[in-house]
Amino acid sequence: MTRFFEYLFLFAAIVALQLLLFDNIQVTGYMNIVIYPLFVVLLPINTKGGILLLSAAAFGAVADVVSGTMGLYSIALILLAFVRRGVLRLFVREDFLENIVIPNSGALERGYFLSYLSVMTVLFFTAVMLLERLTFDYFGFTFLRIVISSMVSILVMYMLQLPLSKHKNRGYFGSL
Amino acid sequence: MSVFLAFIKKIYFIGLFVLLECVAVNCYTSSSVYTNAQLMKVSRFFVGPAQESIYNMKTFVLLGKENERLSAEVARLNNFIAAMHIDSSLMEEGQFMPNDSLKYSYLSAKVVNNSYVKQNNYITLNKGSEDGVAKDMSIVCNGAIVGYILDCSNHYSVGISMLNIHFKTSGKNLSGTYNGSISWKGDDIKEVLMTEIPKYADINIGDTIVTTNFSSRFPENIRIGVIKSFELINATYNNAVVEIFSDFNTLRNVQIIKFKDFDEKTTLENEVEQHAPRTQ
Repeated sequence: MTRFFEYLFLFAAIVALQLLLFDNIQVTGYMNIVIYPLFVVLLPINTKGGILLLSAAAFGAVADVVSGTMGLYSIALILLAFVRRGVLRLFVREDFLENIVIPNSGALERGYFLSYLSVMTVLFFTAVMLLERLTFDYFGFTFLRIVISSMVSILVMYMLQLPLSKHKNRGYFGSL
Repeated sequence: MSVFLAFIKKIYFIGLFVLLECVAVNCYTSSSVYTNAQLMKVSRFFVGPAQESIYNMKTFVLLGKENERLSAEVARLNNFIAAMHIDSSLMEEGQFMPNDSLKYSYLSAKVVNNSYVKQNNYITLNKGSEDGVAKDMSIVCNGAIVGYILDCSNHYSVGISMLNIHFKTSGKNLSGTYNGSISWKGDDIKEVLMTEIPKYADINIGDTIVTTNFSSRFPENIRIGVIKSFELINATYNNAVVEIFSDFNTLRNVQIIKFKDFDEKTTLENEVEQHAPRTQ
């Protein structure tokens, strides 16, 4: 139950940070900082498939309402939830995964976590930015947007999860 | 039965994924700028005041530039009032102010939130339906177009920005010898595209582009920008890059324009469209 409230807090914190901080950082059209993938990335390893998809869908729905994107973030976040296990297996052995509760940089090795976070983020931005245009007319521009936005967002999300990664196999506030 | 349950258990993850994606895709494909604005209206109800404070802090550093711009705007309007012989004492702060033709009236508003680096950019203003703001009213700044209202709550309104890939209006040169369709390409925040300009139009770099009277939202002759470059496409029509007058980086105070005959005009157009004879 404590875990539920921790994730509820994480849910609210990510939405608030995005809306009140990162949406206000406007440097260039090539760089959009979006930290929504962090919620799906940090969900516990042993989360049941159905719960994982429904959590991503609920989070996506809220992100869509506050961002006025009607389904766009939901599509990308549900996709992330679907491929998450597969992406983790690309970098971490299955038997090692069994011993991890939360896939953060404290529990996984830093390099593995960065690779996992990067693949998830690039997938997220590819889905969002291709769907946003629904055309390949400006593919070069869209490709650059995906690359630059992903790089900056990965850096920001990595920094944000650092304080949460102290408890390697425990909840964010020390609960199991 | 147990085989069936085992089968369901095996495919439920993929099945649920497909189902959720279908719902999300359906929401996304059936959405429009209006439905998106309705969603944003809900969130603005909760975070509007916080966003206003953040935007105030952000623009605090630009106050010097903003004062200069406002002084220039006041001078321009004073000249305009003097030329039109309007008694300025009839105009009250914070209310829709009638202009000379009485077809359009103006209301000043502050920008609470303004995105300009996304593909679908919106502007939130601190005036809502209680101030007389309604859907489809145009937003201008310094006599140049910024966008138009999509939806409003009691105290806030959300408008589509000219820097939104779904924004479209028509434009013409000052003398009205050619016109075209105005839209945003999605990359440069200082440029829009003017497409489908007739092949034989006499286009010159530096031509000022203004709004036409085809639109019910924008009054005629509101400034859009100047032609920066143009090219002939497939030997059939010209496309031009227009450098816009509005500076979305420093957008702070804007005016909302109400077209008084908007309802009458759109109702008539819709009726004609419904009852027009259809060719087989």
